[in-house]
Amino acid sequence: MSDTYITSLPVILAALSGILILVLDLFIKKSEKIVFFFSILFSIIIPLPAFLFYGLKTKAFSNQLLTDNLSYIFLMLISIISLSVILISFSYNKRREIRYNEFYALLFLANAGLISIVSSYNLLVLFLSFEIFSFSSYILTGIVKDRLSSEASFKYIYTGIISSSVGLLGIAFIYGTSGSLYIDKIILNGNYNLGLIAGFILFLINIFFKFSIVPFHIWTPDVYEGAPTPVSSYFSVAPKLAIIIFVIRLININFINLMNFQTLIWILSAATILWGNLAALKQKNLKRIMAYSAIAHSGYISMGFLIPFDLAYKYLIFYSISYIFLNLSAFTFISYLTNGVKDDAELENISGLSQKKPFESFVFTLALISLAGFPPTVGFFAKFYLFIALIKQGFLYITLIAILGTVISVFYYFRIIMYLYFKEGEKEFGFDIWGRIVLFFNMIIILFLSFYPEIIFKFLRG
Amino acid sequence: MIWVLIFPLLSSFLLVVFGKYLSKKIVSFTAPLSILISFIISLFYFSRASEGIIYKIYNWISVGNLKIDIALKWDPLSSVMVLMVTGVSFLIHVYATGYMHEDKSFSRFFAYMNLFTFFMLVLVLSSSIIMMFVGWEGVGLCSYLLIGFWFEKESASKAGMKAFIVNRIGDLGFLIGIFWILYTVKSADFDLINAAAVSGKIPVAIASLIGILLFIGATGKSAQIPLYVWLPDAMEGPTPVSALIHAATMVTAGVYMIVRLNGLFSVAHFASTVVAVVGVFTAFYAATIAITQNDIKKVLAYSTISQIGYMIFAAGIGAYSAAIFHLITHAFFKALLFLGAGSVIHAMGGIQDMRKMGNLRKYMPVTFYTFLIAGLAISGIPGFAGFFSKDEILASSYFSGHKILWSIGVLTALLTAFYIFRLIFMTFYGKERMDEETKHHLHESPKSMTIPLIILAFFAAIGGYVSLPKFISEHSIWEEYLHKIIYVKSELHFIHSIELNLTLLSSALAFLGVLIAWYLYVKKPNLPIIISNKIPFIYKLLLNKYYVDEIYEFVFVNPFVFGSEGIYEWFDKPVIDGTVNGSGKTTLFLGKLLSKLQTGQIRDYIYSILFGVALLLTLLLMGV
Amino acid sequence: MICGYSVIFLSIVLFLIGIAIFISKKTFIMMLIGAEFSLNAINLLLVFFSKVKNNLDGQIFVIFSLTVAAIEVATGIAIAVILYRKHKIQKREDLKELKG
Repeated sequence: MSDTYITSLPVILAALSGILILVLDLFIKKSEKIVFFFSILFSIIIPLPAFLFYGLKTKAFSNQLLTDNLSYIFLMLISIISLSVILISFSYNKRREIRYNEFYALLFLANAGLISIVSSYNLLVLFLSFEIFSFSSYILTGIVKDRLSSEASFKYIYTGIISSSVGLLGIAFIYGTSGSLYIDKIILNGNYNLGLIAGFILFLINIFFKFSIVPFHIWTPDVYEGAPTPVSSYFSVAPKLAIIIFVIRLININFINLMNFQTLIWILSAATILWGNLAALKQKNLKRIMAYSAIAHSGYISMGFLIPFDLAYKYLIFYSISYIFLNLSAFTFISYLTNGVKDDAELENISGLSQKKPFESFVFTLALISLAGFPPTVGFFAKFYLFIALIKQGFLYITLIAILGTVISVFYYFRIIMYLYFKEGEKEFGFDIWGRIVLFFNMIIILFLSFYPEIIFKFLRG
Repeated sequence: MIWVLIFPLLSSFLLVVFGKYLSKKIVSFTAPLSILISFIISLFYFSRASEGIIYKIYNWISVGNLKIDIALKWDPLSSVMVLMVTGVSFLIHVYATGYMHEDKSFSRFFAYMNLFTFFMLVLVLSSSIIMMFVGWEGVGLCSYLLIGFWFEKESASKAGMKAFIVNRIGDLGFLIGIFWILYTVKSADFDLINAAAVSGKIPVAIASLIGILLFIGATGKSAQIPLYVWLPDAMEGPTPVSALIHAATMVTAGVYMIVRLNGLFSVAHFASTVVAVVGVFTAFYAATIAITQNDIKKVLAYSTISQIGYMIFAAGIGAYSAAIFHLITHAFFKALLFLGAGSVIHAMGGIQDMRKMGNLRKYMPVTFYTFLIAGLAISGIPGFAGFFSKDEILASSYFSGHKILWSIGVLTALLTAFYIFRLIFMTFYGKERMDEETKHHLHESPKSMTIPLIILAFFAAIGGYVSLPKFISEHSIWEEYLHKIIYVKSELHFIHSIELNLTLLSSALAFLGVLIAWYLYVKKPNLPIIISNKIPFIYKLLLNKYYVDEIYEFVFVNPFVFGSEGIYEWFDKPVIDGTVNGSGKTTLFLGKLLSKLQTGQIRDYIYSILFGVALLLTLLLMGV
Repeated sequence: MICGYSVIFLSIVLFLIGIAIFISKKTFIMMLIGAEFSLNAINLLLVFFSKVKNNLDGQIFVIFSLTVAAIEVATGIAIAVILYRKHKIQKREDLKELKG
């Protein structure tokens, strides 16, 4: 196969699966189970190129798209994410009366957008990929059409439009000052004037918006709370992962140092860590707590943008992998807290749930403890590696702020655990087999990575 | 060696998973058994410990040239700690099978207890500070779970939360200390850290800073000023938990940590001085509070804080082997005191107020005699374990030139004897103040509870003879055994005649304390009640015939009672509780403020984004 | 030849006017018009840069950007219709259930 096909295959596969699932409804009546089955099948097929071509480096469409190991790692992880979202949404969609084919089709289209973000090196392609993802996610947020979901979708769209026009303005400036749309060419060109740097700042703001960096995080809690829970779980990991991979590429061409963005990132990530952790303390809704926790974690990750490529490659990917599994398990648990008409994720509702659902509660607790960064869980190592790398680069103060943030974060994570174990309650929630499977696999992976974290580095090396 | 760790973990795991299906009989057999096996294994390996072996299991993490292994350190220090932890833990497990017999969450309790033992073993066996931190957090976690074990009680889950919150502050210091060590030493291995400190690779100022940061962690875990406030509340947990976690093992982790890093601390003079001062002041302060408490477990809780203060003090003045010596003897007699108190509470049907007890020795002789031995041991009556260890600490402090601290320590010894015998006399002597119903039910505890008491009493009585005072014998088995782990050997010269006098003095004070307690609570049992009831009563007393007693009470008892109540009311509550709660409140307030900024209005959201844009562009123009 | 800076200035002013409309108007449609305004301001800028740099990329970009703007309006109106039909909400102040 020629380079063009290899390079564009993942995007094409994802987009095609989305469209196929959308039209499946036309041919088959009563299509829920079949759509579900095909979605699982497609999300197993999509990462196949990663296994076939791992190690290859290809470019296509006059260098507008490229794939390398980073894209393949992303491809595998995004498939795991979408697989688990598909599995947990099976019963969720039935309870909330969501059309299966729409939901899964949009999920695959969002995936296509993200895969294309990771593969693009061109500002035009990047902009379009961002928008493909954004539109799918706007509709996914509002797919239930009840009051909260519509409100969340509205807020997401209307803030999203502003942030993407700011980003577009940035692209226009970059283009105007350098005359090119290829990021690496622009940067390696070496001609940095004020317009170019301002353009990059505006361009980054759109990314920060999607990444929930303070003060561009403001949509996050509302959208996470209002969106259907499987969708929140998708938002909390998938776009972040894509952006992390994209930024790792930028770090590879020394973007942040050349542009002198260290201080900027320093300030933003410190603000994000503190804001996310502090605002989570008083929340009463589990989805909102997890949203603020996600903001705080964006802060930790964005600190990692300060370290050089070889370290960032290892430790940011480690962090994202651990974060993906932890967040997925937490959200899987939360997504079963619904009573059919609406999400019932208030903190009080999980009182004493540990006695009725010991296994599910245990995995949830494990995920929370790990997110809080307790040793010897994988969440601890993720932070540990990152902090060590930062300290080695001489960023002592930001690390101290981050440690302070983790100490604050323990309070709200443990508040959840306290409700789970130390309170009495009557509410009962049913878990189906798919949810249990997802939780079980997450548990295995979390435990395994806790005792053998080095395996990821071994995998990354070769 | 790894098997020492595996059995408690395995048993805990089994109890968590299959706990529902196992009968109480099986649970009460397997849970102590797993600890006993660990104890036997560690006995078996004991002879090899003097060489100091490292059992490397595998490479855990490596960041650049910083490699951290999962490895067990088996040296004199860890071996005595492991023997103590497994031994005491085993006895308490056996005791708990009797004590917790009626509880509906029997298997859950033992699952937590086994898990706790596992983490405690990880803590003491770890060869690197990171692995120690794993154990450190693990025991903390089990401790919160066990304090809040009876979560139906509002106060219990609150106490669990309080312990948790206070320990966060300590852990913040500890974590920063760890990262600083990794930053300067580039290793997490205890040997390398100590060696680097001793050889001067770490500048003295930095070493002091690290020492203080680590010590903040120790004040949280070992309940020292200012972070001790969680320990008295932690008595809400079941009594075996108080005995195991909040007396014998976990709370001494801070002392263990300081001794483990003795190379670092002996270089960091300033940090050591802070440690010593905080330790001795805590010892004194907690002892004064213990005098006025009426809850039998609260007295013991403050007593624990006070005794750990002694250990911290010893570690601060460089008497590391004395600190560990007191740690071990304290583990025996304090576990015994708690278990005895548990036995009393068990018999009294849950009543903990000493004012409602009295003359219990008639009903529970075994508990009484074992409790008495423990009381003698903690007071420092010659011949019992506490005497040797406390005297060694006091003598070391005297000869190392800390005369002021020494005098506070000696005064505390007097208070110790007083409050512990106040407890004994109020509980086991005097009139029977309980109601008829309770009195009817009074009984000696079952065998599973009394046998551990007897074994512990045996050790509390003879445990001190491994290290005799210098004026009796220059060679101490104990010091020679621990000699190897101490990096900067102390050059203290004990002058025998002075040491003898010091010993006589502290023994006399101990006897005096017992005597005062006897006088106030057996001879004239009404007196303390009257004294503690406010000033009008004192006027009445002056008019009455107790002229002599009045002067006496003015000199001795008033300062005790009012002083300690005053400290409690005016210092402890507003200042210490205030600081701890205050930092929590500020955090919560900030949280509230930030979530208020999330108004829900989309216009404000747009403003937030535009503010961000403006901010970043301004930063750019300012050339940041 | 038009002075370069004046076009850049014009576009930025138009962009800011669009944002101002977006913030100040209360109905959903007017807000969307504001957003369109600023997107078109950027399109103007892109075309201008394309002319200056003698490079067609900018003009191609404008075609895509117009498409994206169309989709934005479509989704924006769709959600506005849902809000009006199902929940009888017309003004953005009424949307404040999610907060805190």
